[in-house]
Amino acid sequence: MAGGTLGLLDESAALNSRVFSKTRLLILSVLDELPEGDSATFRELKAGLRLNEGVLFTNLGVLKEMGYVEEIDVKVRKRNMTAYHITNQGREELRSLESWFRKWAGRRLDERKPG
Amino acid sequence: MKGNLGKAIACFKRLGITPRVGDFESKLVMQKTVYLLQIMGIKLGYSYGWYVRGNYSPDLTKDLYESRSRVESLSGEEKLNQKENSVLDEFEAEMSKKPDPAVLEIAAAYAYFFKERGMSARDATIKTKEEKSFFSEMQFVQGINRAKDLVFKPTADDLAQLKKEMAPWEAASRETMKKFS
Repeated sequence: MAGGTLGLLDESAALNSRVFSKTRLLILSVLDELPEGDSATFRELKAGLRLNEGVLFTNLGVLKEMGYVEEIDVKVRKRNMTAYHITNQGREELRSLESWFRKWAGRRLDERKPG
Repeated sequence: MKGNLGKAIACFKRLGITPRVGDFESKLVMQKTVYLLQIMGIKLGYSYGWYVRGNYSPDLTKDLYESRSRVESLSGEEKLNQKENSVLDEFEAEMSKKPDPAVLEIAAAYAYFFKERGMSARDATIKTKEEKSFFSEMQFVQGINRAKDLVFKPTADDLAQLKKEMAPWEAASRETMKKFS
């Protein structure tokens, strides 16, 4: 078949392979579900994604460094907390990944179709 | 507008909530209050799903931002009928004048699992504690008890079962209170 997975090779070059980790994809995805203006606290992300603090902290750090999430200070019951929201750049990267994976999955399924 | 924001504003006004759309805690209070009022019977038209923030309506957040000045100034012509006012009386009596955001959050989560996911009281309690693991045992007792009072009117059998279920928690809560008093 002309252009199976290899046909998507050029498009894959534009993707950021540092996002290709289950934890980072999950963090970006749950933050992407919140509308612009809203954020999730560290403890919400930790409980919601069932991650330990170290893993979450490290991965948020990487996403922050890449400009995909931003950290803000919030107050709940007079307690200072750290919250995170996805940036426009993060949403764009996620859309590119979704689009590439959709094409990849489509081609894989087409190849398995009988006849 | 995705839901009936005018009516939601009228409810906030009646409950003495001072909305600040850019404030994390204020948005949390509005999200959870709207959810609980809807399941108590006030039709506000916001659909909720389960997100990293718990039960949450992205549409409500969008409406709050789109009409920020209207929300923050609590302006609107929407009137509340007698039934809605009595729901608000009940809400206020259970949750107090200025509800603790933690109690609201737990109550809303419990109500969501019980009402929307059809879980038993026991399973809804376990799930709430699992999803909101960062709260204390005392906050769970308060939040879940409030939710039970708000969202379902128990039968005598339910009450007996409830009492049995909650006995160890209530005892632990009393012990904790003793330590700090």
